[in-house]
Order: sequence, then structure tokens, then C-alpha cells
Amino acid sequence: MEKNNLDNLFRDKLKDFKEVPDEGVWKSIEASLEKKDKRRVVPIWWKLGGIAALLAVLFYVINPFSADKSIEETIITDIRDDQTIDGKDVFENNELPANIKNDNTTEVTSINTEENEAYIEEKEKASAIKSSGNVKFLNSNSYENQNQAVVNNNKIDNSKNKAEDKPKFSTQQINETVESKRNAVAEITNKKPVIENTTNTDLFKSQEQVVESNVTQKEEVEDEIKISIFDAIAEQNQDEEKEITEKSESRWAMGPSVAPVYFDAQGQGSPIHSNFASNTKSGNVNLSYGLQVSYGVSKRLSIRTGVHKVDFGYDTNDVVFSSSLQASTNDLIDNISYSQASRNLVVESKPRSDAAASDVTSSEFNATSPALEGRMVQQMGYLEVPFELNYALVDKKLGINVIGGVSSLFLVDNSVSLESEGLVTEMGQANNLNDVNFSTNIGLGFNYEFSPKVQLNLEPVFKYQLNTFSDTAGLFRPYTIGVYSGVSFKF
Amino acid sequence: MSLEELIDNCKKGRRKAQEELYRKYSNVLFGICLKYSRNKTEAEDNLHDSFMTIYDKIGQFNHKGSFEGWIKRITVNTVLQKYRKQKHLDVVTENYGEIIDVEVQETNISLSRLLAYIQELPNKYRLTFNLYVMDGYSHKEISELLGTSTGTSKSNLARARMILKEKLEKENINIA
Repeated sequence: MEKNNLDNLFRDKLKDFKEVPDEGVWKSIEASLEKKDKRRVVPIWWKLGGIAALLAVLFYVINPFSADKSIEETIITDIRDDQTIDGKDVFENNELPANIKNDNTTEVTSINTEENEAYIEEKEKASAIKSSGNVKFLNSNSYENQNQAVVNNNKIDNSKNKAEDKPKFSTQQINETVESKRNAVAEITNKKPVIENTTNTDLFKSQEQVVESNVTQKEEVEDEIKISIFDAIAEQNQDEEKEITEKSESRWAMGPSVAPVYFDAQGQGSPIHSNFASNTKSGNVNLSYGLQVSYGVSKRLSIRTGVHKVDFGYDTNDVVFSSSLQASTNDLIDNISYSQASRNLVVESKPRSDAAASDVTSSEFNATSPALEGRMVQQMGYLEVPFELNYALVDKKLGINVIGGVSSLFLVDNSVSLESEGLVTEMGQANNLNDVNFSTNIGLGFNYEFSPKVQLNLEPVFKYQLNTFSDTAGLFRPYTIGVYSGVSFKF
Repeated sequence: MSLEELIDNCKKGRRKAQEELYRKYSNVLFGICLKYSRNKTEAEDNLHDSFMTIYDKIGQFNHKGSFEGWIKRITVNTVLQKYRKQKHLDVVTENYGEIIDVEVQETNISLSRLLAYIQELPNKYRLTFNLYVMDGYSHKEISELLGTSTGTSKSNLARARMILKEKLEKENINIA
């Protein structure tokens, strides 16, 4: 049993074969695991970061922390803060900022919370100013009162006692305030003679420094507040997060769109004259371009509108035209307002066959000028304002939509011309074109999302024109088919 | 830490547990990878992929049946998946990398040689031989795993045996 021997040989030797792999294998596994973990973590932070950024912008715009208030108001806020910390009554005096002296007094007041006796003793003079921390002095706006306070050195102990008597607040909080004020006070003490002499300009200088420190401090406090709010938001449950993300999803989209538009008509009639009813007509391809705006009502449904410049045109083939010697109203086509230079043009349908052509006509043509064969081109230009609904059948990276709606078309361009052998003669304008025309639109939309913000659209749309002409000879129902392509940007 | 605890901690994605699991089983699984792969480098790649799959799927292991059996199956499947995509019947007679340096005793010296013979087999022969001889799969199972018929599986096994026999005979090893 050769087979079994062979199998057994290998099986015996290798069945439970074990081998310790190189350490590098674990390292690479570890690296892969970490990469995977990171991939899991990053999107959450991106989401949170996005929400935080959005809220930051919102808060900035709505401004619930009054970050944009003027310096004057900032000072008032700061004074109130001091009052709260000191456990004193809140100032109701809005004129405080105007009173420079009073501001300085308030700044100095905060020193009263300083428990450091050494500091007080060291700065004896400054301590003198501290005595103005007395509520009586604070409430008085007068410069004289403050000066008295400055002069009154006896009140050092008194004010110190007051500081000790004050209700205990978070020591840290107070110390922080004091720390941040110390520089400002140092400035004031340096300018002690100035305070004592009290010239308005110098006082104002020192106030500026105080204000600076106030603003900085206030910003710090605000940052703390904001951060704590974001923390709270981060702790909200996922449903809420989803809601926020959905709400923040951009609903508006806008973008340019361009389309080749083919214009043609149902029926054998002619909008120009019954003479041409039997002529063949061929539609032309023209260009439509414009701007499109859409608003997402729901995830799948959006309303859209815009403005498009669109040209329509069609040819009436097999016409002959010649110029008569004199303008004859009989030969003019009613539906055309001839331009001045074209009044002597005679345009007719080309006879079916030579036999059908009357001799009279031929001789007439011969008598005037040789008749030219060509085609009559009618061109219409409109400003189109669509109002359409767009429903997403497939809402993926590659989306498929159905589009339906109506368009109002405002006539801006209107011409009828004759073309023969490459030469164009202007005939005039059609006078049976309605200034405002409506169309019903139906189409399919394909879009491809390059990014969440940018998508490419391709939309074949059929538009049935309702009232292009006020009267036509025979049945002539125009329609257009356009393939609209464009890019839309969400915002 | 019991095996059960170890598995549970791996399910929670604890790196320490994942490493311990690797230390515990990497030699067994690397043995399988070496037999099923063409050379050491590919075996290491396959071991890496197998462990990634194990960590990924460990949540699905419900402590029914042998854990070692489960991770062995994952390893075999990972390797099969890799070679199934490649052309199976390429004649692979080139030398792939170095012969595995297996730390064995003097009497077992032919082990590394035997492993090299297996590794040198063309993909499908090697996989079939391993599945059938080493791991006891039936031809029906092998045909399902490799997406062939049982007939092909049988013929692949026969060819594998033939090649191996020739190699052994060259070494004057009589297996009759």
C-alpha cells in the first residue's frame, strides 16, 4: 500500500507540525489592530468635532454669552462679578463706566478679598486705597469721596476685618480673581501719585490697563463655559446627535446647468402660415443654460427652480423666396411682422412638382428676380423659470430621480429668417408668439456625488409646450427634449 | 486566565488578551500556514490574515465545540481563500524562498525536507493533499472548498502523491 505509506509518512511527520513564527508577525498584527481601532475611533471624533464646530459658529452668531458687547458693557459685567464675589449688593448704576474714578475704586475693592496680610502691610499706601472698598464709598460716584478714602489711612484694619467677615466663597475662585487683578493694582499703585493728584487723563490710562485685564479674564471664563457646554453635548445620547446631524444637513443646493435642447412639434401644421402646413419641418438643437436652485423638503423630495436662457428653433423646409419689386401687402404673411428691409420678400412653399407650379408664378419670379430655394428658420428665445419636484428613487452615491413640474417661459427673442445656400436673410418677427408660455416637464435625473457637497447631474427632460403660439395653421404642438447636465453645490 | 476568560477578553478587544491568544496558538496555526502556503513569507502573511479574521470573528464563537478546531478552520479557510483566487494549475516548480529552517532533532531532519516538498507542490495539489491527508477532509468537502468536482479533487490528490513520491525517490527514500 504505497499510497498509505506515503500519506502516513507525511501525516506522521507533519500532522501536528508546529512552528513559532517570527516576532515580526505579531508586530504587524498589532499594527493592523491599532489601525483598525483608530479607524473606528476617528469618525466619532469627526462627528463630534463637526457638531462642536457648528455649535461654536451658532453661538458666535447668536451670541448667548454677549461676547460682542462693547468695552463699556464689559466693565459693567466685571464690576458685577466683583460685587458677587465680595458678597456685596449689585451695582445698579449703569453710568459707572463713564465715571473713571469709580471704576478704579472697584478694581481696588477686589483686593479686599486678599487674605495676605503681608501684602497689605507692604503696600500700605495701596491698602489705603483699599479702604474705599467700603460699600459707602463704592456707591458714591464723587471724586471727592474717593480722595477721602485715599487719604484715610486709618481704615486699613477696618477694611481687613471686613474682608474676614465676608461670607466664605470658593477660596480658589477668589484667589484667581485676585491674582488676575494684582497686576492691574500694581499698575495703579505705581501711579499712586497720579491717583492722589487725580488728573483725569492719567486715570484714564490706568483704567485702560484694567480694562485690558478684565477682557482677558472674561474671555478665559467664557472659554471655560463653552468647553463645559460641549462636554455636556458630547454626553447626550446618540439619537440627539443624529437629530443634530440631520438638522445640520445642507438642504439648499445651487449650480449651473447647461443642455442641448431639441425642439420639434407634433402635427403637420405651421405656426407661420397655412401655405407651409404641408412643408416638412425639422427641429433644431439649441442651447439652454442657466442657474438652478433646489431645496430639500425631505431626504428624498426636493423642490427646485432657477432661471434658464433657452433658445428654440425649427426649420420649415422647401420654401422658395424672391423679392418683389414693390412691397405688396397681399404677399405678406400675416403672422410675421416684417422687418423694414424685408417687406418686399415673397416667400412661398415650394411647388410639389414642376407641373404644379403655375406659369404665372414662374413668370412672375422671372420678371422680378430669380427665386431662391431654402428654408425658413424660426427662432425663439425664452427665459425659462421652472418649478419642479424632484423625487429620489435611488438615493446613493449614484442617484436616480424622477422630475416633474411646470415652466414659465418669457419670450425675449423672436425672429424668422430665410436661409439659402448658407446665406441668411432676416424676415422679421412672428407676431403670434405668446409673451408668456408654459410647459409641462417630466424627466429623469441621474446624479453622481463627488463629495457630500458636490454632485454632477445629468437629466434628460421632456417639456411639452402648452401655448407657444396664439394661433397656428393646422396642428402644431411644440415640445422640447433637453439633456441637462450640471454641477450642484450644497450649502 | 482560563481559555474562556481569554476569549471573552478578546471579544472585548483587549489588546493584552489578543496578544496572549496569539502567543498561545500562533505556533499551531503557523504550522498549518507553512503546510498550506508556498513559502515562509506567504505563510507569515497568511498567519497575519488568519489572526485578523479570528479577532474579527471571535464574537461569533459561542464556546460550543473546540476553540482550537475553530481557529484552525479559520486559518485553513483564510489560506484557501487566498490561493483559490490564483490560477491553480500553474506549474510551480520554481524554488520559493529558503527551505524552512525547522528546529528539529537529528532524527527528524527530514521534516523540513518534507515540508519543502509540500510547499513546492502546485497550489491546488498542495491544498488538496493537505486537506485530505493532514486534516482528513473528504473529496466532497474539498471539492466544495476549492470549487471543483470530486473527480478533480481525486486527480489532484493522485498527482500530488506522484510528485511527492518522485521527490522522495530522488532522495533514495523508499516508501514501499
